[in-house]
Amino acid sequence: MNEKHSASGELCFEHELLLTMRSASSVRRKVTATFELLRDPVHRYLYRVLGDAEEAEDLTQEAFLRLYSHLEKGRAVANVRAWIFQVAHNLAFDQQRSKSREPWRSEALEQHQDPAPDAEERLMEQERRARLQSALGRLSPQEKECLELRAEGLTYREIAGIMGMRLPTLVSFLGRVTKKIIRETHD
Amino acid sequence: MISFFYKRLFRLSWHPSHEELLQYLDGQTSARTEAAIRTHLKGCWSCRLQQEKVERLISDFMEERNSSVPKFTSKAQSMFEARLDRLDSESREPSLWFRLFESQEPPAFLPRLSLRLTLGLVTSLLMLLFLIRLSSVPPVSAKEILQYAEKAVAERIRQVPEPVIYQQLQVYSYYSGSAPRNFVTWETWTDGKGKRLRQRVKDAGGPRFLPLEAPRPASLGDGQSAPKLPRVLAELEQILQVNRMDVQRPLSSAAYETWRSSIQPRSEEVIETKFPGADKALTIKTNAAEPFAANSIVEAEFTVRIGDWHPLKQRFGVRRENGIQNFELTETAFQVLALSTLPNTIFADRLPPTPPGVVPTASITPASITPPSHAPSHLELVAAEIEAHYALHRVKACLGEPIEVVGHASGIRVGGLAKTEARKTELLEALQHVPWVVMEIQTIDEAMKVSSLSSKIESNAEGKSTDAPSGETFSVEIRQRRLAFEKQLESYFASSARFVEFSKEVVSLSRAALFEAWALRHLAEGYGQYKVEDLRSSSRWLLETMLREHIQEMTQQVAGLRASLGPVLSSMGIDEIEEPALSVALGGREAAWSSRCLTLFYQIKQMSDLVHGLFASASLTVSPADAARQLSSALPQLESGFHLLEGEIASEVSVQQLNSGATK
Repeated sequence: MNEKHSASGELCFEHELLLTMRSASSVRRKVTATFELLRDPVHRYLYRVLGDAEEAEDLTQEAFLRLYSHLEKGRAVANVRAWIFQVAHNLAFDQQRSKSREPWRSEALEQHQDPAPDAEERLMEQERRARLQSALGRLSPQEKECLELRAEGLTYREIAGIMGMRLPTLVSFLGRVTKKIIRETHD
Repeated sequence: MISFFYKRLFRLSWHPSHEELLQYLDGQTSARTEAAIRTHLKGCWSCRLQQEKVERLISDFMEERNSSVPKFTSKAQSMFEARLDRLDSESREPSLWFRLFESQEPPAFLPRLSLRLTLGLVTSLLMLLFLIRLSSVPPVSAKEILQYAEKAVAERIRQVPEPVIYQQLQVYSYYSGSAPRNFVTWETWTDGKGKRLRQRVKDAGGPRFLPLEAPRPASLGDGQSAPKLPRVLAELEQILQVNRMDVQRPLSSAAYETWRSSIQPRSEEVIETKFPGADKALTIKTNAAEPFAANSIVEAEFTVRIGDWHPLKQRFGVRRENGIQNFELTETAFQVLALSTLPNTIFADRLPPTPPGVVPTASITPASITPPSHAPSHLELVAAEIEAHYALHRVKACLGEPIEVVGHASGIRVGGLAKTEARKTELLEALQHVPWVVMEIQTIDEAMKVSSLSSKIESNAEGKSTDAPSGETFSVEIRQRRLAFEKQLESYFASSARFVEFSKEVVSLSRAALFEAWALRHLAEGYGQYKVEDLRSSSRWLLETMLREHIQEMTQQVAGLRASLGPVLSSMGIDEIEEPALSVALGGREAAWSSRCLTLFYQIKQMSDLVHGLFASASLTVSPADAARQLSSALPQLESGFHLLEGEIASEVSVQQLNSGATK
């Protein structure tokens, strides 16, 4: 088999996932291997959307258990990554609907600030981050989700599928979101 | 040389949009666009700055993002493994039946049966199965049902020259677990050849035609909706488009098949059902498999009549932000009509409005109407006359305007006075598709130039020579004479300004109802003597539409009057009287509907007189207290009259029976 490699010599992510799914002998092994590869991105996405680490962990597990049930019934999945993010999106959505939440918490950011060499630089850095955070805080849940899914490396087509939009709509939607943030952070 | 210059100029003036730049940076553009943008960026500092800003945003966002996410804990990892183990062991557990047949020992609960008894039981069981099989419909797959349904419709269309598909649907929308929330009656005429679509909707806002249009624009999926479309239909359209279903024929086997084949994998079953009005029906139940994108159909049902495979109903659940939204489409009428049997007004629409400030010139003049070459038959003339009435009805010229429609042996004459040039143009445009019409509509200015009898024309224009109510806005002059209950009313309303406002409102409502009743009376006088069975179905349909729309308007106006007057009259201690407040004696009419229309007209006139007498200083023939009592009782009496008239229209005029007969 002609394997695809990235510039750094590592297997491309999608290709690795495909190989994992194909080579695993049982459904359980397939799910376990996929979990190893996609656990962190899905957890990160859920945490960013829900703002609660424990809930994000629970829902990450739930998404992969659903993958197991799905495969166990003999059903196929053409694009595992898009599938699992779609399920994660639905779970997050249901969770958000059941509780009124304020995602994108700021405490996490405040705890993880990098030490800057001098006070002036640190101040500027803080100001820049604050602006970005404020701009992100003003985004709608849908806008935030689009950014998060893109940050996880999903293609425009995959995001459009998950969000239930047409591709041209998504392109202009993402364009509008990024424009809005640039305007607010550069003013 | 010139070409090269323009190419250079074009290339210099073009800059990628923000979206294109973002797509380029994300590697989501085609190779050609990517190359074009790359080349452009080399020469354009402005776009490079823009590119830098986007890249900076991405890097800032990713930095902020990565710094604030906790790790997936080992506790959660082990919990997941435990849950997966449990799920895995459950799925490996053999089923009850499997265990039953696998076990070596016979199960303890099964009795030992003799061979003769066993044979008897098996034979009985087989006979029972045979009987069930005989009484049930032959097994048929979902795909076959959809194919049969499509063939059946295609066959009906094939039999009619220039076919127009008429469909009447009741559309409900509701969320799972709640009662139907939105409801609309949706009628469509689809001209398959010309790709024209005419829609008529009826909801809380009353019945109305939507503007004539070609197939809908594809932009509805972006949350936009067509103008004047009721919300439930706008939502339905969006869902149909997202799920690639035919917007023009949502309840069709083709639309269902398109959606059905787009979902893989799925579970599906066909069950036999009972449908009101149809002996037996088959319902296909299809479930889509997870994951579900927003606005995607997660499960659907499609019901067809067994006799002729005609689609009757469709229901589908859609994943929405607030849960599962259900749409239910039930067909109440279906016909394949020949285009020639339909009124011309169905696919005719008024011209776009003229910009303000420009005096429109009447493009349609009486001379430009070319009547068909043959002499019209009596039936054709009656049909044209009703079409002319309907055209005037659509532009509300039937509500007291001095326009008359007169039938002659050779054609129809529509004559009268329009207040302005713009109104004249509107009337001419409305009538332009009606055959055998000679239009003699003049503006008041034109009429005054032609005739020196200007005072007579003015008098006619104001409707004084007829019994038509005036179209002028009515103003109430309460202060001219003291009203019977003025003191009580002023103390009830606390201020005279509010009292004046109230009086204006009730007087205006009663006059509006009188206009509608007057139009209703004209239709009754014009067509009451006809046997409606003798009229063309298109004429019947137009007549029914006009009658129903007038009733609808009057119902709303009388309900408005009742809501406004009820508390006021009650506060004054006015009780309803026992006997009917409005008495009109009419007789000699054959058709109940036309007789009822005339009765209602006179009753509404009496009601309007009472309102004017009590709240607008007009004279009263009875004492104010009696007038108030009569008015209080008149309104419910009118409402029951409207109900009766609707029933009579349904049984005597309606084309519904014709349509429902066609669907059976």
